[in-house]
Amino acid sequence: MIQLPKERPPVKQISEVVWEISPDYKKDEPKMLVPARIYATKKLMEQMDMGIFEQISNVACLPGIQKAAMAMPDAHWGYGFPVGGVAAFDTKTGIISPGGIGYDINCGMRLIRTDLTWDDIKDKLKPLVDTLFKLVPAGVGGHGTVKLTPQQHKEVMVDGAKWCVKNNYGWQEDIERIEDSGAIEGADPAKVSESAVKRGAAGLGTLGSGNHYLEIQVVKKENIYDEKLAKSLGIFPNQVCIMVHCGSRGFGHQICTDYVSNFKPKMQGWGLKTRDFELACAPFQSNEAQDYLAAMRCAANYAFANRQLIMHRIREGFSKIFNQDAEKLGMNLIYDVAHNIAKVEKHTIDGKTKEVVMHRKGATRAFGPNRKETPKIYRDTGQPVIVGGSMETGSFLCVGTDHAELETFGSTMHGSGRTMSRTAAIKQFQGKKLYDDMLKRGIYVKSVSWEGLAEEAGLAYKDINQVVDTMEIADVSKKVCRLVPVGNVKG
Amino acid sequence: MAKSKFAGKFKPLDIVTAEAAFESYGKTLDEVFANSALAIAETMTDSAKVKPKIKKSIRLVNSDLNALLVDFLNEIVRMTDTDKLFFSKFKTKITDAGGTWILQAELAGEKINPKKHELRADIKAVTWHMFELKESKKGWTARVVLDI
Repeated sequence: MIQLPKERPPVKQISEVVWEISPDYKKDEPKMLVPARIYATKKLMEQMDMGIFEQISNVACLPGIQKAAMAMPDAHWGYGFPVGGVAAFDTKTGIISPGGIGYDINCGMRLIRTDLTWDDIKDKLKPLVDTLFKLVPAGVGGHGTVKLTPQQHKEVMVDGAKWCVKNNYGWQEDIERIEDSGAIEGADPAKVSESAVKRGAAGLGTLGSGNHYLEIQVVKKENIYDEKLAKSLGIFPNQVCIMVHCGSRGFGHQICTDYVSNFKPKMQGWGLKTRDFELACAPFQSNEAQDYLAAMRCAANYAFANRQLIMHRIREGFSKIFNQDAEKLGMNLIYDVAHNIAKVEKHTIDGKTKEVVMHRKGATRAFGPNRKETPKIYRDTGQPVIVGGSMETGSFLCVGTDHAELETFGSTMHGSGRTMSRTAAIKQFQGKKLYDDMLKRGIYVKSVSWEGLAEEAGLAYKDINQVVDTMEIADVSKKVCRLVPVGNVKG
Repeated sequence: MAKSKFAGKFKPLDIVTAEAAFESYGKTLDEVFANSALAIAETMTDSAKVKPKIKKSIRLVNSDLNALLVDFLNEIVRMTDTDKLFFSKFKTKITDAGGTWILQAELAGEKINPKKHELRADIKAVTWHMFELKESKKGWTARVVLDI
């Protein structure tokens, strides 16, 4: 079990928003191999919980880690890795850790634009949200909107969002607007347990609960920070957009559970000792690690398909309310990004190109215009980065920079980050009162649970402005616009 | 999640920023396993409103007692998600078979009905984070963190 010290470790400020814990902090085996680095403004640094310092320095002890273990400005205490953790491991000498990816494999964000303005939807907001609530199942026990045969399920594991488009749940142009074109290569359904297959069969097209949501948002003129970038991404003043936050549902959760159980008893035989049970890992070159990678990619592709199917239902909902085709409403996908994932990538480290397995847990890839992985349509802007804020305070659209690759292996924040526990939020906020208060402020929320609503109160989160500003100051990601919530469906 | 009516069985813990956690109790291993299962059920719904209509069995074997509890609770999460069932009754029997622990559990519940059942958190997984299962003079105590 992880024991938290009473005092923070010595932290050295490297630049305005970069702070470092020296490897001297943990000298006993397993010792820190690289520094632990935290990205934060001074204000955010003061708010960081103690668990982050412990967890990110524990990550710095894992074999094969490169340069530094990094915590993004939205970081908070997780299990094993902090949420908001970024780490690169040499594929020859390093490890892969399911806890560095998360149980919700390829939890991620999707942003859809429209040609509609706030004036177009303000009188139809309630029926619009109610319709989306019916079309997109949310909460525990939600039934998927597509029942998969075993063969179809395998196809989804391999083809991800491409399976959806092939089966008329989307448009061909959607594919190039999804990270890895919505289907990561190397997925092998044979590496997925029967339990995970059964658990995933009924989950496709569902939001889930916790902090997962779909949200109708408005881009106010004063919240556009870079007009040229905004225009290139299809954003204009008073525009209505839709944001989706969810992942691989029970399918991915079961795959993570299966492989943590698989790795844990074998670690001693591999000579691996970690400072936390949840850092269970396997040498990247081992058969077990390769099996996990192949299974994790199945879950990642399932998550891309899940968000694709949800977008299809959103397009149907808008089409119904506005009595117009989704194409005519301009409901194009802007981008879909993963923020709980491992990727094999090449990065320049100490002047040499090295292959690493990137772990991003509660962190988003943020590649600049010149990375080959950035889609052709975004070669002038950089890869879009979608940052989900709380349902009260708003979210951000940013883009990655070329400098990001040198700074953070092309990684940035994923959201605003919790500061208050769920239990404390339930004690402090009442779901029904929050609902009424938000309605008065022009935000209509439809939730399956009052308790779940209270947990997601805006004050339970960090100041998202500070979070995105941190990574802009670090020249990792650049703000395009802020999106203000007006309607929200949550599980 | 839990109210005082569960005193002596389990209590929620406020120890992890974004997740749920509980401590469960039992005079015997059988009891602490059953009360941990009840805590899982209460995290997802108000189990008092779940009728024990459908019965399920779980049998697990493990040389590690801690792993046996984590696996058992994860199995309940998996069954809830796969079969769309909420559970409310748990009977557990843990046997020490000389270096191997055997769990036999009988669960009862019913199909999830959003009109009838309160929908609380959807548990993604039972984690090893801060996990503890220990015996004292008073009996057994488990501490469990859930990813939600």
